[in-house]
Amino acid sequence: MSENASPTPVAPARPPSGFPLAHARYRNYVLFALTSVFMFVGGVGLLLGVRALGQGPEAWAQYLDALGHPAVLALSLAVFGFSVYFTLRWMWIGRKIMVGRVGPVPGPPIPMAGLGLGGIALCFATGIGVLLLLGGVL
Amino acid sequence: MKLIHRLEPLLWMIFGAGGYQLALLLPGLVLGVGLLGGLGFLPLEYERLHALASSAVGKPFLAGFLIGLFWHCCHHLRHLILDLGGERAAAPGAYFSYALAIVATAATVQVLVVL
Repeated sequence: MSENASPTPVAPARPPSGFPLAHARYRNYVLFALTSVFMFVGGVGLLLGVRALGQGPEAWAQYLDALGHPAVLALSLAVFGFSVYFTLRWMWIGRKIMVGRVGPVPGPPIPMAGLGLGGIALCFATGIGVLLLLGGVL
Repeated sequence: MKLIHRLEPLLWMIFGAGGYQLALLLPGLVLGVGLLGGLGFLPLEYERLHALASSAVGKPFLAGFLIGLFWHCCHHLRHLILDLGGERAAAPGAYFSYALAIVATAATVQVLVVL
């Protein structure tokens, strides 16, 4: 393109009518984006745990005590709920990415629903593995 | 914003990779540490977990997982701010989100170096 060419004129972006609460699809979309806030908080909580591990057994015991506080348990429950919702939606959307179908490429050998459910089952199995690792079984 | 626009492919790549990491690992970790550990149902012994986290595999794993988590969440947060605040919120939302990701990354590196 020549240096003097003017940029292509585009209309300014505007939100769809009724966004973000008018339709279930919009609400679902915003809720999915909101998972990032809770998962970030969960990440900070895990980072504090790693820091306590680095500071010694006493700091670790204090960290575990803090986790048992009712407000922290309520927050952990919210983070867990949002992370499960994220996992289900991410894997359900991700099945379309995993297929990666562009143009006249043959369809996937297994149904799309199978890919989504397979991904969710993989996450469930990994979650069990994480629990076994944390609990000292593995 | 020019730099951020130039880095968009990289940011979306980290977002995607971080999303799969989160989907696979975060529910189990939050359930195990935050809920079952907090309630005392899961024995989270210091010696075993410290050895696991500070091992040659544990440290890089934790670095990748936590940094991926923070960048994924901050990239998603940027787009949440953009969606709710419109074009006016685009630049402040991007600066805020990525500054948060940089601070969280620095904190993660500092914690893991000490571990």
